[in-house]
Amino acid sequence: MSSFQHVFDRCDDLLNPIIVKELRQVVRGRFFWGVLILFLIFQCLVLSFSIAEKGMTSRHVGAEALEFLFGILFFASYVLIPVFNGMKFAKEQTEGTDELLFITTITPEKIIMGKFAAGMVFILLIFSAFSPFMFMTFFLSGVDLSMTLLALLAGLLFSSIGAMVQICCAALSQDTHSQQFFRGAGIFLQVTTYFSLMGMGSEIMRYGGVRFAGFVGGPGLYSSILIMSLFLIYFLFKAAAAVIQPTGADRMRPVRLTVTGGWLLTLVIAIYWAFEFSSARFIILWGGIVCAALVVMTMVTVSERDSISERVARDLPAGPTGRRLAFILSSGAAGGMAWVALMTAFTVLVVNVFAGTTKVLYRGDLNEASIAMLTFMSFTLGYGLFAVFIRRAFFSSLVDTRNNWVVMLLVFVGFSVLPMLLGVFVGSNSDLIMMGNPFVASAKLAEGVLVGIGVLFAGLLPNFLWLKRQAREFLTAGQSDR
Amino acid sequence: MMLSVENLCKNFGETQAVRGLSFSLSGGDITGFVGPNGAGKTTTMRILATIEDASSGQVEIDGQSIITHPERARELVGFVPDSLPLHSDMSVHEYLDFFARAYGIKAERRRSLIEDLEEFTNLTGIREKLIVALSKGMKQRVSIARALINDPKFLLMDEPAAGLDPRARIELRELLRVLSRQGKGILISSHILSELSEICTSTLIIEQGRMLKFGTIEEVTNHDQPTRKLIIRPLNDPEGLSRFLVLEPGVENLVANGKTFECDFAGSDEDAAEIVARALAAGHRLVEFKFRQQNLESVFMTITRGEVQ
Repeated sequence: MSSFQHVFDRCDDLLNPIIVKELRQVVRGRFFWGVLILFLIFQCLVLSFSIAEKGMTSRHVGAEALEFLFGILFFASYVLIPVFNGMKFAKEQTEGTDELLFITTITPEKIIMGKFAAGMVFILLIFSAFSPFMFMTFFLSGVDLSMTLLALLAGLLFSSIGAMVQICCAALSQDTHSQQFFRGAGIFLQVTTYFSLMGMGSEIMRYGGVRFAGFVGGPGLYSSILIMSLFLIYFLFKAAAAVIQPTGADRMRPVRLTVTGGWLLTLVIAIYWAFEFSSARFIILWGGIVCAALVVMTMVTVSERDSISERVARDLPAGPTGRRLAFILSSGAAGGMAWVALMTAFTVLVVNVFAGTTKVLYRGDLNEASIAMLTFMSFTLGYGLFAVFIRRAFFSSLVDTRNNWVVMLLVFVGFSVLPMLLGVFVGSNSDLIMMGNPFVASAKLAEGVLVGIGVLFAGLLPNFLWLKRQAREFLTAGQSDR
Repeated sequence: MMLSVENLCKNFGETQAVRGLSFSLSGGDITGFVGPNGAGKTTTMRILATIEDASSGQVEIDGQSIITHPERARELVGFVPDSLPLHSDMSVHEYLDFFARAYGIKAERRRSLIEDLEEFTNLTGIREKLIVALSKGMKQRVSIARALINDPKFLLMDEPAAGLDPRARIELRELLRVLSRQGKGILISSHILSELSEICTSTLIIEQGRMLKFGTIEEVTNHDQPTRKLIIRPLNDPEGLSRFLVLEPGVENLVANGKTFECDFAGSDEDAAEIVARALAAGHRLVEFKFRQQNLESVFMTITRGEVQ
């Protein structure tokens, strides 16, 4: 074997098998070539018309052409390619085509990484085909080259997020119904955010970066966006890999660890901006985002299994401290609830500590915000526990554990909306009727937090033995074998 | 090398798909996995292939638990599912190359391995064809080649003969014999019982997730039956023999079929030998005295009720 062949083989061995497969399939398929050729023709036409029109109608003809081209590029890279990639993955998931991969030695992380990297290869190809045309608009008038580059980089970054969002939605598609639901939600998210991002992109290209971003101190903003975007991609990657893991695997440990890391990372960024602008509102915004994430995590948690699997038990540490930590982080409904409660407590604590130790503006709002967060999360956990009990007691044969998030959503909506409708029916708009709604209760501060904690305890009561059993399982699993 | 299953259970909500299955397979064995539709065959195979998790029980390959360490078991097991490969836009060679990469087989070894597998499964001539353009039989060969990529010690095959034409079935049978001679243990589910009894060394019959019978084909077809069919043909005097037989212990439902008698016999081989001795002593001359060999089909029909869960 020649040394060239040897080097080639070594490089070949490093390639993710999924990338090789995806590239082979897509290059053979018509979609990619169709999109590429169609958009190249479109760009040539747009540029030709712009050159023909130069100087006749507008002195910003270059900027207008650039904006138009960017819109097309971003649509292809942010919407078309990720959605196509996601649909292909979802189809493979529901058909079971990818199932045989799980009996090979390839890991779920490698599968997701391969899918993402394959999507990124096509996004980069589209970008490399579009970029020369976009830079050519510089020769027309009104184009800022640095802004063109910035727009392209931002487009690439957001397209990466879009690609991972679609892969995550596809990973959630386990059967035809969930495929339709998550595909619909994914496409809706992608299309709506496309228009929002395009609006922002137009502003940057039209008025330049200094005017748009200068007021928040350029590099700080760009670094924050970059760090948070990369974290979001990493989180979605971990979440998608967890979803496609076999049911008995410890799916949640990497997800909870990532979210805990993200909590810390975003806190650092929020503190940086709070001091940069001397405003506590960044901490409030951070707390709000954390609460939203914890609500989603509670919905995931109530849909987790309520007994320890053999694979989870296999990896439990021997010591009691390690086991307690594993209980909170590993797959399991009770541990997940404990983790959400702990993260809520830390969040409220951080907000209070920040209120008490700094001299930033709007500091007084922090105390109110921490009470509202505590109220909202108490309601969330309480309703989550209600949902667990309702499914277990009445619908265990009808609703699978993994779909318990739907029951929680119904409980949440039921307690929030039904009293309101009842109030309309009986002609009362008393605050008491509305106290089941976490949003209303959060605004009521002292009364709200009392009701919230009451709801939490009401949820804990029927589930006490269920929670205790799971905690004991984690603490004692496999001890007779050791 | 031994694959042992101990008290395996799998529940889907309220439904118990597999209830306490226990059996073992050795290298070189071909075990037929038989049961009515919905008996739990596919679920069991998917658990053994580590696609599904068991609700309880233990599965070990050479003492290594596949429940707690599925990643190690995957190196020892190959799985041919009941569905054929669906990768419509991949050629046979690309498909096998993809799975070889997924098993982490290095480039140099991968090339020769895939060539060998294509030759072994008679796919060399169609290696560049798209999978979608292949016949069912050819797709099944691709599926088997894929399952052999990691050189598994045990091969699990779920309905591999379904939908195949007679030639493809015969070729599949030959392929299984060769694999068995190579020392691979094979667990094969099929509804074509006559074919199974031709190639299998043992059989496992299940219904409603429970094991009804497990043993070699001879054990399953001959043993533990309340009665066996006895065929007796006298040289002459059939009426005399008939009168003699109805008085013999263990002989029931005697029926004359031309010059031959058939009856149910509830007794051991020794009891049968006593009857022969007494018949000869009584002056009857026998041309034929034998037990009718039960086939897998009749055993299956006798012990299963066709109930689904």
